Amino acid sequence: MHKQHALHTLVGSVRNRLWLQETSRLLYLGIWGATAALLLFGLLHFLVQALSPKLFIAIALIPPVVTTAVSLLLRRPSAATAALAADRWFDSKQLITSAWELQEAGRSASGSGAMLVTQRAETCAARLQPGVHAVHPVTMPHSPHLPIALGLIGLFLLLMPGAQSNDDRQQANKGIQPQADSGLPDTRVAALEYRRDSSILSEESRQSAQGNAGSDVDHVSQDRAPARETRPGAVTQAVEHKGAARQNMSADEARPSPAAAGADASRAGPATSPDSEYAFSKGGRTPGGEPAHRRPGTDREDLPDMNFQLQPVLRAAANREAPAASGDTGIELSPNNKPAVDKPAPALSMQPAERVSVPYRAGFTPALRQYVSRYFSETETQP
Amino acid sequence: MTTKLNTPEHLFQSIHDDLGSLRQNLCNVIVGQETLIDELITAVFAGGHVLLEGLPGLGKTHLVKALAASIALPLGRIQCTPDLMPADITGSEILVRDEDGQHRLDFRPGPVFSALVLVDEINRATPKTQAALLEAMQEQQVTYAGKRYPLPTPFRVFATQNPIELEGTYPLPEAQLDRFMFKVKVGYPDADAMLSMLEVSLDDEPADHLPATLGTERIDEILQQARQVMIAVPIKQAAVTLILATHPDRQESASAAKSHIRYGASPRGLQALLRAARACALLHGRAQVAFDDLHSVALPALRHRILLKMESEMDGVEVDETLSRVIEQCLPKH
Repeated sequence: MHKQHALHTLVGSVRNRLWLQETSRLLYLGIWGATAALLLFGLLHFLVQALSPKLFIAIALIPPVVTTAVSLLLRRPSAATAALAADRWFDSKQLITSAWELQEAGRSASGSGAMLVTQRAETCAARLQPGVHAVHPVTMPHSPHLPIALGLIGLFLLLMPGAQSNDDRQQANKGIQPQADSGLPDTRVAALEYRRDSSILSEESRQSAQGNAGSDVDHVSQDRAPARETRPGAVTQAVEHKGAARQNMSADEARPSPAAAGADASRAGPATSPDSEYAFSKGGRTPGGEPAHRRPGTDREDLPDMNFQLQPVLRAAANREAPAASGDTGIELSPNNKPAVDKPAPALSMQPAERVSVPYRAGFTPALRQYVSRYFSETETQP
Repeated sequence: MTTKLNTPEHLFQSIHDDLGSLRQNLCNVIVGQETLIDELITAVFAGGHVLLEGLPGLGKTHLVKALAASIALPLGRIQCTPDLMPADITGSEILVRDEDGQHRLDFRPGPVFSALVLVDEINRATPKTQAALLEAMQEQQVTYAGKRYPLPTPFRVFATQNPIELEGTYPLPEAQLDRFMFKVKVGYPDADAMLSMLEVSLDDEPADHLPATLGTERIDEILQQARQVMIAVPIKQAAVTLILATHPDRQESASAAKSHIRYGASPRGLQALLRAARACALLHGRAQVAFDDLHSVALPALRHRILLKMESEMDGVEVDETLSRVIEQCLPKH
């Protein structure tokens, strides 16, 4: 009785083994498909356009899932195929196939040949059954390490921060285009411009105050300054608003003689900052008792273009609005160093937008305006 | 003992042993021709006729005589010449006087009325004489003067021919060739086989006193059991595929067949192929045909059933080479 079931058991085992082998073969192909998809999506995500990782990982998993499902549902080998495979595996000279055919046909093994085939097949199957799993393990056609490694690379790329798409770039560019009603923080931009230009204005006011008193040294300083602009290594200190204001307020007391001022200016090094450069170019007057101060980031070496672009703007601004701009010190300067009583209120008491004139804002490109917007948004969010 | 022999296992085992004894018997006489002997035994127990092709002196006649002695069957010999007449083969009526003194025509059977018939140099006989063998080989009977004379059972024809000497010969027509189950080629033995042959047959004709290993009854039993050998459906399918692959105009034809073959094998070739495969399995002690059996018998069973294209023959393409490529392409390895 045991022998009679041996053939069925053997054929069933071989059939399942073939099924698993086919499944593993198709799964291997599916793994390659998933690997290719992951690599493709990963490269797209990393280089071209940011993709949703979850969605595209799910899409990449479709090939192995589909191939496995197809194998499990549709590619199950028939028993006759399994019998042929068993004969091939164990070199049993089509004994299993012949016996299986006899049993499947339901024919009684009447002939001596059929009887002998059945007997031999049952005996052979009982002997071969233990070797099915050992001799023919279910393995993939090739090692899956390579596709898995490549798939992990693709997965890694897909999980990394993605590249900006063209649409995103265009959208970002649109966002920083100057628009009339874009709602950009003009007041903040103005405030920043005010901060940046306050030193210029203070220098300008100081210079205008000095213009009357030290006109005899103008030619000296005007001649010296351009020559010293090329001298490197002169680092000036930043000028605080208060200091500048105080200096302007006590310009008469603190200012040394024009000769000494010229010497100080020449000692202070080249007027590389726009402020000092402007001071030199504006009538050749150096700031009164202080050397021409420089702020970091405003050196000619740091911003070579800005020097050339800013000069005419500042000149124009100084020509037009020197009295108003000098008001940021709180004291209106006049040509004779007397406070102008009929002038508007000091600029420090005004809002930044009111104090900054339009020509100063012309130095901000749309990108700078965007940065300013970001700067304020970040500083507001930080405690 | 009788009970043991009645079981299928012992029945097939005894047949395997007997055929092994016959094979060994022949190998003792014909040295170095094991494949030839296997093919001959296969054809005999598959119920087919054999065309032996080889140069003179290779032992074709000697082999047939040894086989006849081994299986204890009467051997009739026909030496073919151009002037051989059909009646010389089939027999003829002669005038005889009976006991009463009356004269009457009596049929005198020819040499074809033997269990084993050796037709030596068959291609030297005229087509008319060759055609006299057609009925005998196919229908196992002879018709003379409107009267049928059945041939003995078993009936096997072994014809020999010389492949080189073509002058004064009449190549066998395709219909005649198709009657042969096998066309076996007798090749040269190697040096060792020749040395062994000298030991056996230098001064003696060993086939003359070869002991019989099988009797007539036993041969009938073996022939019966040969029909019991199982042929699984995949084997039959492979055989059909092989036969169709030899046809150049078929969709299933092999590339070699398309290139070189003019006419492929006939359905009779398919029958011969599977019958020979069954006998081959029996010779190896199996009760089922394997693909290996098809591989073993395909070449001798089909090589005389296909015709090469004229240009291929002119180019020196061999039938065996073309057929081997077709077999390798169509038959499974296991």
